[in-house]
Amino acid sequence: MLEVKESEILRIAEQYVLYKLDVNDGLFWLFDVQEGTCFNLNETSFFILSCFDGKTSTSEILQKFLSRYPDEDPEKVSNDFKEIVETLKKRNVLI
Amino acid sequence: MQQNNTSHNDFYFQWHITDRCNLKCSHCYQSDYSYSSELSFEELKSIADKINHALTVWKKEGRIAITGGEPFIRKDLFDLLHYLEQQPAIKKIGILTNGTLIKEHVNSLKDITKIYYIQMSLEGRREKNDEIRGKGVFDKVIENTNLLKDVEIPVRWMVTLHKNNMDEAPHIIDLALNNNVDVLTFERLIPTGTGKSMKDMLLTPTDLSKVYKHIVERSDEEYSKGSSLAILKFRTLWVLTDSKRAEMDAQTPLQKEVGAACSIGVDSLCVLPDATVLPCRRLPIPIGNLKSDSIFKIWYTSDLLWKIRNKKSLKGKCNGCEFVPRCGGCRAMAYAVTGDYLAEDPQCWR
Repeated sequence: MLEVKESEILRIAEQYVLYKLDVNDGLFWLFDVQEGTCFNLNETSFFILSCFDGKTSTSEILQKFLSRYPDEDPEKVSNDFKEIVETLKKRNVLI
Repeated sequence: MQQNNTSHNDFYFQWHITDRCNLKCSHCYQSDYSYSSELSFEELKSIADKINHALTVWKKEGRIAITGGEPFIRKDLFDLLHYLEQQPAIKKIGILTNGTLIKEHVNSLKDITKIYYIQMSLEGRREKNDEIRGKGVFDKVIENTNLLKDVEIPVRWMVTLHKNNMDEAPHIIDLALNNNVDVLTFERLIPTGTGKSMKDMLLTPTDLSKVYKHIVERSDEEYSKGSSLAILKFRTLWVLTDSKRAEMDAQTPLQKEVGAACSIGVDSLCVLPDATVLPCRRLPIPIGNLKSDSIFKIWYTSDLLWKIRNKKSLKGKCNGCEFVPRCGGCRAMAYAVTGDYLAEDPQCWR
């Protein structure tokens, strides 16, 4: 069962840093500056992560996300979003 | 999310453990030679641990050059060398020295099994060298070169080229051959630190082109004779001496290769005596401090490193140049001359 609470306000844990390099179509990374690892992201994950600023609620971010895919089935897009957020919460990237 | 490991096999740290020096060379990148910023031995060990940890996480083989100032001034140098020997991810240790204080340490150096070279600086034949580095230095470098060679420790010489010694280049090659030096490198003067006053001594692009081409010709000639001397040309602008060699592959002998892109942001960092981290010793813009920052934080979050990594941000002739993969210009030179580390390399002769 997905555990994303839409009223929640989350932020990226301090040990992680997002970075986008503007070459070609863009390269997106998440760096763990504590453990030294880095993760390639796709643009979707990068967009979602960058919205979690510690001030904006999950539901507001979901609305922003939905607006990027006006031609898609909203329920599918919402479920995709919640799955990504849940994964990030489980990994303590989002806290 | 996909975890990513970097693609280069090794990583280079140039670690300046002291600013103290018994010489005061006219072109030195230092302007302060005091003791005040030095770390204690315990602090040095802590930094060595951080370096080893980063290399381990990144699965890199560490090459570390210990230098200064003059590293042999530190009484705990060998304690540090022994500590570095114990770090599994540090595979090779070099020492960059002015070559004047080595004599009493040669036998101790033999015991450091990870040492892969001792590099000494030389600026010309006796008269010219001593004019730049100090009276008596030439003889000490030659003597200590031979002492190191006698115990089979590889020796490198490094030359800092400028208008005052560019004519010495052929003679330095001869000296290197006569003294069985293993590797010879020619660096360009970067007018920073004490050397800032030498901006007018920078070689013009035309003169640099002539000197570099001569060195490449000599290098090829000596190689064809079977000489073991490797004259390294793995720096920016060298590729312009023979652009066809930009296509060379991994099988190309060391002595024949020309050119290499700047390693800033790719596979190297510089650490100063107070643990300040620089992108390169000659680019004096701090990007962190290992007393308070992790190597990972510096490496992944420095705006400067990201700007330099993105070759599309280079300006002038460097922007869009076909030789960027083997050149990209020297960012330190650009900064020293123009104040902008993304500017074109002012010595490029294209």
